[in-house]
Amino acid sequence: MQKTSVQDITSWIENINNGLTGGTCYAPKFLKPYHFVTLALELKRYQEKDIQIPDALANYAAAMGLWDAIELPSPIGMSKNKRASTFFPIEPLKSLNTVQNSAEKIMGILKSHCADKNTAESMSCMLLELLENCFAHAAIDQDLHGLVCAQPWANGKLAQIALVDSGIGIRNSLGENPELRSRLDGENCCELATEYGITGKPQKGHTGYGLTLARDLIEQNGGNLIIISKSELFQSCEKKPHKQYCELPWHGTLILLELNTDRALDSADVFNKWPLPKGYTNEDFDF
Amino acid sequence: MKTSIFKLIISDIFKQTSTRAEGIEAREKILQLLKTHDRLELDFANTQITVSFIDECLGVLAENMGKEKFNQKINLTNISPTLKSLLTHIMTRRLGSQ
Repeated sequence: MQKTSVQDITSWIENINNGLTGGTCYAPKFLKPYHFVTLALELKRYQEKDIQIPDALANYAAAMGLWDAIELPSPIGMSKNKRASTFFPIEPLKSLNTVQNSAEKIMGILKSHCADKNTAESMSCMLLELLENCFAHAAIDQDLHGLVCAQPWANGKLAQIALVDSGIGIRNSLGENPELRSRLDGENCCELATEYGITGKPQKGHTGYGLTLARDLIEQNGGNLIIISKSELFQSCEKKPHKQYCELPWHGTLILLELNTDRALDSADVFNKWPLPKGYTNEDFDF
Repeated sequence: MKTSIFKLIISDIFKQTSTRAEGIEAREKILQLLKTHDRLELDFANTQITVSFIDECLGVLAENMGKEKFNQKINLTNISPTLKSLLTHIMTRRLGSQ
């Protein structure tokens, strides 16, 4: 199955923007989780109440929880059982205390598509970090929660997890760390955030592992990672990095992860490759 | 001389193991138990924990106790290879920042 391209996402953001300003948003033929989370967040931001979706797409949109996410009554009833078995509908990230629960629910959908137990555990570890980041760094508007959505395609041997927030953006978050300001002047902030040890809050015990782990795992898997924060974009697809400026910015941060479900993930291997402080080894503790 | 060992099953005692606040709560519980027991066994079976939780709970404990005392007082069991690597990384990072 074809992975999402930068062009797919940037043109979709433009399409949403056209819909909000001109009234009509053209949907692609094949909808993925990132379409739903971005659309839901923008509809909520603009407090749109009159949403008309063609019948052919409405069932799928309802199943993905589009109306629930924007707190409008769904025009189509949808069995929760049907929802629960094949994909993870849009879920608002309302509180730090629900992160673990959300991660467990997403893994409930993705687990059976993972190559092995270790892959599921690695994916879970990455998810927890990314969901938590949404609260630790994004400084989200309390009325406009972050959203997450996921779907595996068994035949396509691919799974997508899409996460959006309406927060301050990676550049502003990293800018809280004075040591990073000079690097931020000349570098793409989304790429910088995937580098080991980069965090906006070093003095508060934050590690900045979330996006580093995501990139390292996605590259290990040959998958696709796209990060858009305000007007900056970074992609690592099948280990090929790409960065660019976006003409039309996203109002917060969007993280898209696509994993090849027929290939394993091993976060232990990633952690073991990260540097340890001088004088310490992997055998220092009796586990 | 007898050594008292107390086994703490993390998933039974702590229903949520994701936030820094929950990590602090767990650390305080561990410190309380160490007042009455020589050694603690922390069982991580069926537990999903975040970096934040580990850092606040075990990272800060290791930082305050030092590596030798930590190894002497606390035994971690049912640790998967993934969790072992993550724990090692976070705890040595805490110790290395001293």
